[in-house]
Amino acid sequence: MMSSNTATAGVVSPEAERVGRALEWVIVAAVVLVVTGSFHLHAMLTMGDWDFWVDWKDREYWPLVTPVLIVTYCGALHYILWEHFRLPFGATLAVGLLLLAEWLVRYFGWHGWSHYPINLITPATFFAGALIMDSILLLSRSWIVTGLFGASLFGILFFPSNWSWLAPFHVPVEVNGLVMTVADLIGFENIRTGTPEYIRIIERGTLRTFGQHSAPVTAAFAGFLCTLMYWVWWYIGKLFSTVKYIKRGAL
Amino acid sequence: MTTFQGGSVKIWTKKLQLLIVLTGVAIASAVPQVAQAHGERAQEPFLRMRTIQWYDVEWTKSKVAVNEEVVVKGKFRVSPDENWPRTAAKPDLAFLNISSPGPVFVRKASFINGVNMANSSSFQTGRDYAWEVTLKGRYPGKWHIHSMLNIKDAGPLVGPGDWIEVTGNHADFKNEVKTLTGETIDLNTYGMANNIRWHIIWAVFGVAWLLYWLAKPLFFSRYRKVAAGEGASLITKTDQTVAVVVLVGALGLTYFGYQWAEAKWPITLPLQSAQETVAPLPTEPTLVDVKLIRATYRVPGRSLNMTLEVTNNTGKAVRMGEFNTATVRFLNPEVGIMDEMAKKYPKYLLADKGLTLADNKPIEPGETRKIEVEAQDAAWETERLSSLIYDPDSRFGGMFFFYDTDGKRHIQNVGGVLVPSFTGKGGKPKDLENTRY
Repeated sequence: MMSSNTATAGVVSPEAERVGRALEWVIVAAVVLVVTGSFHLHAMLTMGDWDFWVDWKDREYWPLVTPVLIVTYCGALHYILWEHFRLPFGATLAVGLLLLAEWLVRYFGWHGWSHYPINLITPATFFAGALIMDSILLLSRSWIVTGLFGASLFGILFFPSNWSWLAPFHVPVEVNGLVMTVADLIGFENIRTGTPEYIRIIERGTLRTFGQHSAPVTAAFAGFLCTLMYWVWWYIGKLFSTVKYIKRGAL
Repeated sequence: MTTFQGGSVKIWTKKLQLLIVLTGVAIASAVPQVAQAHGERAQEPFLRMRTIQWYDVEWTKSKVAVNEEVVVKGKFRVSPDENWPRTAAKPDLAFLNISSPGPVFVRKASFINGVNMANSSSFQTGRDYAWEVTLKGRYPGKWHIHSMLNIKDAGPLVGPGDWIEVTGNHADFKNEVKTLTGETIDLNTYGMANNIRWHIIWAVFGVAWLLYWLAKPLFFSRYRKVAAGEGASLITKTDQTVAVVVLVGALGLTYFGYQWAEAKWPITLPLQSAQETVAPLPTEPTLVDVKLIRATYRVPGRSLNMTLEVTNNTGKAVRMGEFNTATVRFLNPEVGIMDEMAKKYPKYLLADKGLTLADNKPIEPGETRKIEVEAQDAAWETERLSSLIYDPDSRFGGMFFFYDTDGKRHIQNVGGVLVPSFTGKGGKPKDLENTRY
């Protein structure tokens, strides 16, 4: 990057501007590849199963684990793009690339190659919370405010923003004398050799209320943890985007 | 480029040849190999021999059409405590599963002792369970289908497998069920259109926001201004207006989507998570006692040789008809138990002449007899059971099936230390010098 400690900061020749703009697309391509690959790997190694299978999307673990682990890259990219370039779209970029990777892998790999039905392996959408975080960052220009309000809304609104497509899978059915949801039944019927039923970490724990609605309690807790996680990963973003130069003659 | 004729050209030619070879190897290894069956052979022998003993397993059909059903059923005995390996967790929580290459079948029903096994359960050591799984053909092809029991903290324990061919066209597959709200749905495609619709709606919103910023200069000019302390000037009034629209729009769409779903599907349940209780089959009195005196595995001969003391406490004479271990069945041809089920048993697991007794005469009621038994077949190698001698615990397990004169079957467990013999003759204890072994 050019040194810009001059009174003419930002004034360059049209030729340089054209070359710079072309080079930016090369940077975009590199960023897309790096973020897509690493974020997808991070997501699958952490909240993978909860977001992978329709019969893992419960009201306790899925709405807690998923947003808390996804807000990570959103925070890091927010730092990198906002602090250096005043670009506020880090969160949407991160989740957009993640979803691109998830759909490609699931459609071509799990569905096309291994024949799993798409309705068993549909990923969650994260755009609602990401768009809200981006807009709050731009309007507040503060990472503290974005963490307090944007990241907490990312966690709180994760479940309701996905309910529009998930709701039909929680319609009840009776099968051989047992009451199940459609999601449970799709999971039971489509054989997964390495995923026995007992391995589902769902509907356990103490995030419950007396009103039988665990989801709001989980959402509130997720919002709280997302705020903390966002701030931590804001600084991880700083760590990964700080450049130190060796002074001439120091070696 | 050659600076010196001969020398550099030779080096470059050699490097080129090496590059071509390496590229070929990389391409060849990148081409996915088809993995069709028998992955269970990779499991350690002691797990397969000493944990879940599968028997009476049958597949009701070997060929079905798409949408046609086939039943895989049988029994399993959970090895008694004294035989269960210390290194594997007991089935305090386990799930009856099917080993198949993905959902080429759908599982329509699963029962153990008449209890619906959509959930997991615990199973008692030393007891027997009758199981049955109904599968429906979904994807055409020839598929190797095993029964399997997944045990928490132990892993999958695979039963015998056989080929089932599915014919027809996957496009004809239908999997309809009626919900408790009265709607008939096809589980194979249910909800997919709505999934994709909402994902596209949110994706369009998100991509539009990204394109708004990607249309502007991105990095160099903005970096220069931020570094010069003029970053605030990069955010225009239009940007702020767009951000407000995005914020309100995202909140509004979330609210609308949730309310719309609540109105369209007002009756929903949380995911169901439960654990079943399954009573084992009634215990039959153990009327044929088997005491293992010594067991050796003769590596060159691929045979398991056992010296047993058998006591017949039944009221009739009995003969040993079968030794069953790790789903391999060694049959005594002189007892003649090749019934219809045995004839259909997978050939690669059936040693129909594999069980030999030094003394094949019936054991009379009340008699105790020391007998030498040999279970010999290439299956020890092909099923990778011979590597038992390298397992962390050199013990084997299995079941004997005795038959009395009425054809009634008496099942008895056996298990204990297994001493390997790496030579043709092997070291033999003095008291066995006059025996065949």
